[in-house]
Amino acid sequence: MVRLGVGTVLVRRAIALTVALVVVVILTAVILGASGYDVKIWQALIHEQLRAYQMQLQRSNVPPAKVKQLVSEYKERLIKLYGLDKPWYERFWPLVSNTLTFNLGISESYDVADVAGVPYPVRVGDAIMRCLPRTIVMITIAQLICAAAALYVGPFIAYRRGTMFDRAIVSYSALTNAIPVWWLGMILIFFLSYRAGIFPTDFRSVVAYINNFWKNPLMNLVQIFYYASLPIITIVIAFLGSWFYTVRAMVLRVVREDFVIVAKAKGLPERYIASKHVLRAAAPPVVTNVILSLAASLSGYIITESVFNWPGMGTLYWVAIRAADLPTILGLTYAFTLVYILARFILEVLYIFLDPRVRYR
Amino acid sequence: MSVKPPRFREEPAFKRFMKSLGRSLKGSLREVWSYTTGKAGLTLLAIFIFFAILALILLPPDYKYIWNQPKYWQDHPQLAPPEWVRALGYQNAKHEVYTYTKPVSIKSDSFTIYEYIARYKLDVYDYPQDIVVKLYGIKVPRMGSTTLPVLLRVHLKRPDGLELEVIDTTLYLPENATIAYVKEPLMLSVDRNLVVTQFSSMYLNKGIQANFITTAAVTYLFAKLSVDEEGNVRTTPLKGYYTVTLELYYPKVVNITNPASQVSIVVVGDCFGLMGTDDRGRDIAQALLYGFPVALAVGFVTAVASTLIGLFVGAISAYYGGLVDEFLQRLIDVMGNIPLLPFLILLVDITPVEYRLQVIMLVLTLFYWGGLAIVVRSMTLSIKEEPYVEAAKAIGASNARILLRHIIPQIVPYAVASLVFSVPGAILSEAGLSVLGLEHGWPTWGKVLAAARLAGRYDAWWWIIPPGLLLALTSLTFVLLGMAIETIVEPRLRTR
Repeated sequence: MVRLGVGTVLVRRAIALTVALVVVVILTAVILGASGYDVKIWQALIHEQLRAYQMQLQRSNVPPAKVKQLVSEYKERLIKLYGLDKPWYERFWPLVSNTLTFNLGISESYDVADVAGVPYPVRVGDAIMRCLPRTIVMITIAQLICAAAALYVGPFIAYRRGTMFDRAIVSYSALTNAIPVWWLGMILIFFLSYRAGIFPTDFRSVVAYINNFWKNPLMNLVQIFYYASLPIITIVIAFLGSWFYTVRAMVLRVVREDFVIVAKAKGLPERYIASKHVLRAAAPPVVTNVILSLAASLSGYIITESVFNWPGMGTLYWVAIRAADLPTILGLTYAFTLVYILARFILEVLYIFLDPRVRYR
Repeated sequence: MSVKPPRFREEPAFKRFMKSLGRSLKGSLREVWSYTTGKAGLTLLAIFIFFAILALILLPPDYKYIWNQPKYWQDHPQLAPPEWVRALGYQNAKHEVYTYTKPVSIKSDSFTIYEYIARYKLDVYDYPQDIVVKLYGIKVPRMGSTTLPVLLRVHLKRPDGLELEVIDTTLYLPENATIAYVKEPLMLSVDRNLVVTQFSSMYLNKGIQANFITTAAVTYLFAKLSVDEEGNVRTTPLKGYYTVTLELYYPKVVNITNPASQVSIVVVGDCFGLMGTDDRGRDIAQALLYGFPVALAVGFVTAVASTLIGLFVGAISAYYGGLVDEFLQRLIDVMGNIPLLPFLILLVDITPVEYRLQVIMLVLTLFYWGGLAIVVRSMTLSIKEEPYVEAAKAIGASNARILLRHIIPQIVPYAVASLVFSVPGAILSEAGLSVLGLEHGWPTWGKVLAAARLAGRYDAWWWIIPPGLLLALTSLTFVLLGMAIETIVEPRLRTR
């Protein structure tokens, strides 16, 4: 095998990831364009504007023959304005290139502005920047809690494999793995919000406290905590099990390696083996897991957010799809993919430090 | 061991492949059963398959249509908990259906009057939701070539002796009514205005001006009433025996012994069946039963299709190598970077409603095979170097033969483990998309949950808990099975 330098490997990965990013955006645009998804929306809009125009002309006593002519002229102007006279691939090309250069454009939808919590019309970039902190407050924090707990407990269970504690954790992870997180959310809302009244039943109100955070940081923090706690609890309960299981499996795989047995045979203390041999070798997959999960959490959980009526990235995407708001759909798809691809590239760089084999590949 | 004589007429490779697949599946099943997780998983799976078959037998083929038609659910209580909550002491009025195939009594007046009488006992502090009469195969009175109208009256006698008209209407039946009302009965419910008019005039006669509200008419029927100074009506449930009488007035000239093939008087209670109803009165137990075959079909079709693709693509990619390998690996790479759920939602949203379930299955199939293909590829790479593959090549075996006979059978156990693990994925995705609000028309577990969410009724426990539990149990079944199979194919995972 040809030996490649670290730099070459990284450049190759970067190129591959960038190609993937561009392909995803183009693919999204092609799906939206080729299916005629946007045409219906535009046509409805044009129809509406033409009717208003016709009414206006009739009210100002323009002769009917003239009205007809003016309306058809206006229709042509509108069609040209929205680019409906051109085939879809010509209409979409500017959209794709603008998206790729972070020129995300302006959202045409009232609903998108409503989720973002700002007056219409809203720039897509602004809408994303408004929704991102809310998703971080709910999902990224929950994932961080899971990751911290799993990193602390996971190796511990791996060492006590086969004990009651280990079995309990494995059963718990099999059980929670089976429960859809959004359903757990519904159930917890039913029991803890409706029945027990501990948590709010409407989570949308959190917007005000996040948007005006800096006016009264301490009070707002308390309020945000009040709203975010149930979603966070839900996600932690749902994902902790699989986190434990994954970390345990990763550590287990290393614990059975020959070099660990050799270290044991040499009579090295357990603690030393754990920190110097096991942890070092188990680090790459564990770090991969942590970073990819955190990256994925930034895109929001569309279904769970909608169950909690939580105005994060997932809800924004869903509302954009419902409203057929192309700039927002494309912008968010781009953002989701970009975050994931950046995370993967960061991992490639981290591997150089974590896994010596990469350096000598 | 005896040496087999060379066979010249061999079975086709595919048939042999299927046979070996069958053998390894049978062997795995026996082995899976030897694990506790495997036993639990297989038992649950058997229960699921039993319910799926039960649903196919019990529910009509056009159930999907029935589920979405409000008219089929008019005689059901809305948002009612299961019947058994009454045993727990909950105050929910009983739901009763009284069915007759012939009238209880026939009177002769200036009309022939056919009477059906039902006695309903209200034994809790609650109000029934409605009174509905259903007439199947109603006879049309004819005089020569013209059809004559039929009078239909329902009155209610309360425990306090008060008698009220509940329905009073003239039926102008179409020529073909007898046949038309066989499958779908003629259905009538309490005439709200009629009830309110009677109560209002009753109180006006006593000199009291009271504001009776049309929407609460049925409540008044089953209540002790009091009116405060502002004219607001207060109600408390009136316990005791109620008598519902349905009268059909036929013109005397016509000679009919039995006016309808079947008549039902339904006192629509405040609880229903085994699992209650949703906000449109639909029986949740039926939808959940129907969900079994749909869920299993969605899960299995997706899992089998994606596993087969992953198996073959992975093996071919490694076996042929070169450009084919490079292309397939880059394809998997790009697909791995696509955000699946957003993409799926987008694709489903642009699809017409009637094809959405199929699109969900198709898209998930296309996204699921990549992971398995990578594993299969790495396994094939090492199997490819084995001496027996080389030997097969040397005696001139075709590539297809080597792949099907020597390589793929070795990977099948892993593929089966992967298949079993991926079954719940599609079921949960379908449920998730439904909960989000994407319509696909099929009554599935996800759709039942979606209806609860869209109605904002997280408080109706009988509506949100059972479908989710079924989803969780389905996942658990396949997780358990998958764990057992994984232990078999990956001996390093064995505890002892």
